[in-house]
Parts: sequence; structure tokens; C-alpha cells
Amino acid sequence: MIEVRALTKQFGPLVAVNNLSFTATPGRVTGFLGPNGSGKTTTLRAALGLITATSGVVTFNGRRYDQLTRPASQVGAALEASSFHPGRSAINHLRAMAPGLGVDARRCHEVLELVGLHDAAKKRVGKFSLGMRGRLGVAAALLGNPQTLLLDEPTNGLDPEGIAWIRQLLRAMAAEGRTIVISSHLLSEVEQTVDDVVIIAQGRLIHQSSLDELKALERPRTHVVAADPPALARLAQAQGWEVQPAADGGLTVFGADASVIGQAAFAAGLELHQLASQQAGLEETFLRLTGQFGLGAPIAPGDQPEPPGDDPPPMSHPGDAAPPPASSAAPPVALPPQAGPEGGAQ
Amino acid sequence: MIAALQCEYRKFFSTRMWWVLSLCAAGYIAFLTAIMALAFHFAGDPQTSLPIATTKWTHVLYSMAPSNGYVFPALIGAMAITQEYRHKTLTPTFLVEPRRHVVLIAKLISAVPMGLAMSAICMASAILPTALIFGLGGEPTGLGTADTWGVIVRMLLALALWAVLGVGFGTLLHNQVLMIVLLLVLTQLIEPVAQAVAIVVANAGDPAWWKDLIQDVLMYFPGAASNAISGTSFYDMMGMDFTPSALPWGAAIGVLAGWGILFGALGYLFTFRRDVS
Repeated sequence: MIEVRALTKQFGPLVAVNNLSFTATPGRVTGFLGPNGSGKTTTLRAALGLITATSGVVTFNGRRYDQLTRPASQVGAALEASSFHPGRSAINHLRAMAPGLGVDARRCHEVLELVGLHDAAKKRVGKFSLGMRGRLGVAAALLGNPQTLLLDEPTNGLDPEGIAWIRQLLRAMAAEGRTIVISSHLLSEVEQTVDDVVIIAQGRLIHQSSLDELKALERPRTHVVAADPPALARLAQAQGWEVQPAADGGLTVFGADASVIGQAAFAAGLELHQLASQQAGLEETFLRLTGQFGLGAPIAPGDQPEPPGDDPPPMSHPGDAAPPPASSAAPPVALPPQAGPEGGAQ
Repeated sequence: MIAALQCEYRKFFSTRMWWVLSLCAAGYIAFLTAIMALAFHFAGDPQTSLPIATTKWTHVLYSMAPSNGYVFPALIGAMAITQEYRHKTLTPTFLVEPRRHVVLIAKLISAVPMGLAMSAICMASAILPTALIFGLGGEPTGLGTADTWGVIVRMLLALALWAVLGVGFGTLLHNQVLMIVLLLVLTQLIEPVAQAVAIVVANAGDPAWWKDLIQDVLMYFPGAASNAISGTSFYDMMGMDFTPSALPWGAAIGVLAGWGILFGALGYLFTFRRDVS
């Protein structure tokens, strides 16, 4: 059980983590999600005592990291993949940690085998690829066979095979009753791995629930083409629908399903040529919650939508993005206030 | 603490640094000593120009190790800290041992045996060329006397303590390049110049208490303390004696270790507890 209570971390004028509270429960994989620069890594480093929180506390089964006996054997952590001496071999990196965890050389070889690095055990880490460093980081996290696992962006640099491997590994470890937290800036990367989600943006909690409850927040998405596009745009504005121009001159309407739109068009005497429900992705819900949906100024009809799949920019400049949620003390499943009709990234 | 010491030991021997530095130290000291030994061998006693008749000059040659090689144990100690900053390995180090004072104390303590190993290499690099050149020339090497071995042991100690001082110095600076440059500038330039200037000033000054005060202060500098432990120094023997008064060697051990602990404590207060990201 990991409890984050009212955690705040300020770097000078920048509030990286702002009164953040959430819990991660044993037996489940918790996805710790947010855009780049939203405070995920800062939260994890504060939890592990690597940085000093401005206020608030993070506990593992009720105790702070530095109060645990042999902490690295109770809480395994893999942070960014660059914390290795390039001249030290993989096995020696683990052996240099082993005495503090109370494990022997056999266990070091065991975890290297587990992450598929056995053949590279004596190779210097400087010659490792990003994916291999990621695996070595996971090996170090698993070294003490910990009950709690914190992995920061574990899928970074991994090939699809590696991502599938880590998914299986984490599912198996959760099934054994361990508490697992993995961070990611992409919900789709961890969607098949996590049971619970904790979503933050600009250092604040936006949403905490099970993945299923998050799925219930998906909005219907409908593609509409009218004979008179300007009239459709006026109708959408009058109804308060959130829309985005589609490539074929029609509109994609969010938050209203086909029957509602059809009825409104009929009442307004509008001739529709297409009215089709579309599959709404979980990623869209995630982007909407984190204020990344429709970044920047509203796009006037006719403007090109931004290409999908773009990396969201860091959120360190307040004012760039949608307003932050009114209150982080709101119930976890509260929706943030919606901006007006806007287009933007999908 | 034992686990933390074990971690330090494993970190030290798992990179190339220790043997690269050992080779550098051995080559540098052996080269300097061999040149001096050959000079003595061919030119005779520098003070009488007669053939070398006493072991006094072998002690001068053995002191080439602490006089010139102290920087190598100091680097070993300092790099135990600066390497961790440079390669961001403080993250795994502090994950394994989040009590940072334990990490720092382990580094200070582990510097003693690692410094001793480096010191042994330095001393061997001064003794072997001397013994070879003097031995072949039929001059006394002094290696048969307890007196000489007493001097050698004290030089070993002086060298090893530079490793402790290095850890403290590295903790205070933690930037590897800055640390190496400052270590050389301070020990090779600033301290000798300060000693020389102070002696001139002291000699020029009339009141005796003024001269005494300056000499009393100078005794506590790391270089002066190191020379006091060694008991003999190349520069002393050559008549370039900057520090007429020296601490008893037992006290000098405390002073040199004290510098390391002082630097370490200051580093702990001002840099070692900072955020690691």
C-alpha cells in the first residue's frame, strides 16, 4: 500500500507537485499518468527520498522510505535509465547494490536472467542500448524481491516484445499481491497493464479510479455531415456541443450521441447526409482530463486540426493549456470544467 | 554500515579507475625517483659531493612518494564522490541507503584501506628504483634497518590519509573537473606559495610572537601535516625548508584526517543532502 498525502514540491517559483494525494493498493497495477512535465517523476523521487518534499508525505505500508529497514528490498524502483556508470558491467552494477539489500551474487544473476540480460552480464553498461538499460533498471528494481514496485516510464525504449514482456511480468507480480505503480505519459501504452489509474496534470490530481470507471467517462463521438455546413455549425454552437472539423467538411461532435444530434437536426429542419457513431478511444478521455485536448486557442472552422499522435508539449507554463481543475480536493471521479467548443489534437 | 562499506568496496573495484590511477601513480613516481637516484648515484652526496655513505639519501628518495604522489590517493577518495555525481549513480546509491550520512561516513572510512592500497603502490614505486640503482651501485639502501621501515610506514599513513581528505574535498565540490583542477592548484600552487610568502613575512616581522603565530598556523596546513607524518621530505632535505616547525607526527595524523572530516562535514551540510534528480 502506497499512500501519497498532500505532497507538494516547489522548485523556486515552479510548483512541480501541488497538494497531491492518492493511494495505490496491493494486488493491483496502478497507472500513474500525466503529460510530460506534469510532476510524475518528481512525485516518485520524492516518495523515494531522493528529493525533499516541500510538504506532505509518502508512505509505504505506513512508513516513509528512509524509515524502512533495507528499503530497496521492500520497495523496488526503476527511474530514468541513465543512472549507471558506463564503465561498470551489468552484473557489477547489481553486485554493488546487493549488500544493501541483503542478497547474494546468485540473485544478481537470477534477475539478469529474468530480464533477458544474462548474455550481457559482463558487458559494460556504456555499450547498452536504451532498451537494455531499461531492462537493467527493472532488474535492479526486482533485485530484493520487493513487495512494492515503482517504475518510471518502464516502456521507454522497449521494443513491442519488451513491452509485452513487462506487461506479463507486472500482471504476474500484481497477482502475487504486490503493489505496483508504473508511470507513463501515454495511457494507451499501459492501458492493457493497469487496473487503476491516477491522472495528474500540472502537479495536481485530476482523476483517480479503476480503469473500468475511467472507461465509463468516455464520451460518445459522432461524425455528422450536413447539406448546409454553416447551419450545422450554428446548431452545434446553439446546443453547446464540442466539435472538431472533420476532413470531409463535416463535423465530429463530442459528448452527444447520434440520436440526440439527429433529433436536434430534425427539429431545426437541417438536412443531414451522414450521422455515424464513432469508436471513442480511452486516450481521448485521458487527453481531455489532462487538458491536452484542444491545446491552445480554439481553432476556427476550416483550420487544419493538428496531426494526431504528436507528443504533447510539457505543461510547465500555466496559461498555455486549458485551465486547471477548479479544486483538487474534489471527489476523485470529478470531471474538470470543460472549455467551450474547440478543435485541436485528437 | 557494514553493508554500505561493502557497496563502496564493490563500486571501487568494478570500474577501470583504480588500476588506471595505480598505473599512473606507479609510472610517475618510479620515473621521478629513478632520475633522482641516478643523479645521487653519479654525483654523490649533494652536500659533500662524496660517494653516498649513509641511508639519509635513500629516505629522501623514498619520500618522493608522499611528496609527489599524494595526489593519487586524494583522487581515489575524491572520485568516490564525484563519479557518483557525474554518472548520476547517486540515485541507486541513495535508494539502497537513503540515510545519506551513512553513505558519506562509509565513503570516508572505506577511503582508508583503499588509500592504503594506493599508498603501497606509490611507496613500492619509490623503493624499487632506489633499491635497484643503489643496490647495483653498492650504496646503502637502508632497507635492512628498522629505522627506514619506520619511515616507510609513516609515509604510507600520510599517503593513505590523503584519500580521506579527498573524499571530503569531493563532497564539498562534487564537480569532477573542478575538483581535480582545484586539488592540483591548491596543493601544488596555493599552499607552497602561501608557505613561502608567510615565511618571508614572518622573517621580516620584528616581534617574535608574530613569527611564532605564522609558524603555528602553517603547521596545520594539509601539506605541512603530511610532511610532518612522513618525517622527511625531499624539499626539507634539499634545504628548501618552508616550515621549520612541524607537528608531532601523531598529531599530524589527526590534523590531516581532520581536514577530510571537516571538508566532508561542510559538504554534507551544503551539498550532499540536496535533491538528486
